[in-house]
Amino acid sequence: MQTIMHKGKGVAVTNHGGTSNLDQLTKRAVRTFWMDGLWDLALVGALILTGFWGMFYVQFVAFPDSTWPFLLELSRNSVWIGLLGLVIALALYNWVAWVVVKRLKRLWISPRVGHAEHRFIMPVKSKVYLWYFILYLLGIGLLYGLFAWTKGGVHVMSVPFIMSPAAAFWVVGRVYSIRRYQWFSVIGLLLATILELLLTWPASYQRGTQGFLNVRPEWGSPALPCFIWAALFLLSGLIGFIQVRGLQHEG
Amino acid sequence: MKDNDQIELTDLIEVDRLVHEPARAAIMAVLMGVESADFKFLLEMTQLTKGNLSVHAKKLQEAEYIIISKSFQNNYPHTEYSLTKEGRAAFRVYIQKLKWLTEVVEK
Repeated sequence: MQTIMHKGKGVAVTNHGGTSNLDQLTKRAVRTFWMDGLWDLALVGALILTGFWGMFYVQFVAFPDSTWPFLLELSRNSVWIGLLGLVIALALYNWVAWVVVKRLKRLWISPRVGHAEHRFIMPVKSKVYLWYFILYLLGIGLLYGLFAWTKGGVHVMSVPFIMSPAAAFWVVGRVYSIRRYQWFSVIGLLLATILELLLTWPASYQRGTQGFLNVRPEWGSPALPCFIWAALFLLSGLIGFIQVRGLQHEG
Repeated sequence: MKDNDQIELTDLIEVDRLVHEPARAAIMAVLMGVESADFKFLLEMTQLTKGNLSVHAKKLQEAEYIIISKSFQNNYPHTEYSLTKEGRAAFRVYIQKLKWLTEVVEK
């Protein structure tokens, strides 16, 4: 067996350590991307943007003024153009956020704990994506059932916004051993579901809607879960940032 | 034709000796997870001593498994490390062989 000099509590890397220690090292390197919380803080903006989009989009699609006084469905094109607009806006936002976060990491984080340039597409094993989709689809199915049973409609637009960050938080937290992500996944899922159940009420086409919580039961309110997740990402980001700053003081 | 035992022995002998050293394997494992990393980051991750890290990184550079770029940031020397294509491929092959050998031994 080969031995090696380590300072302090090193990762035991020996010839007999096998591949698991090396896998752990790779994971530890990847996980530093999330640990300092800066990406969480960047995502707050994306969630607020999506929330505001949801406030207007759902009202526009669910209660189209143009079809008044008849409750007619909008053309598929109108629906898809709204979604495409969001996707493009989020792609642009994420690109800018990626550049800004990289610079801030270099400025604030690297002087104390070193710097790594992360890949835009993280080196994640395909089974991680598989777990994400299983969790996501399972959650969506359960929540659709719950909303259909309790609210008279499946809340088709809000459920993906409840479930998507929850599944992402859980899978990333689990794979990369980020405890706060796992906690926030559960808290966010419960909070967003309960508040969607309690705060939204069915809107009538004849009276029009009174705010973004007054929704058509089939559509739900995507803005609410987005704002809840934005608050949780803000908290998660601040916790991560403070933790890394704590490490700096210890160093 | 070789029997199973011979194939296992051959594979063990053919493990890339340059990667098959704990410090170098650790450096490469960290770099597998990122595009590039600086000296401080590698120190934090691998918990090697500065001397060890420098020596082993140099050996990996000589084998063209990693690229070492030196520059100055705010008047301080700054060193960045990244894996080359050959380095990534070598590390993947090494891990596959280790996994395979572990499975064989466990059987």
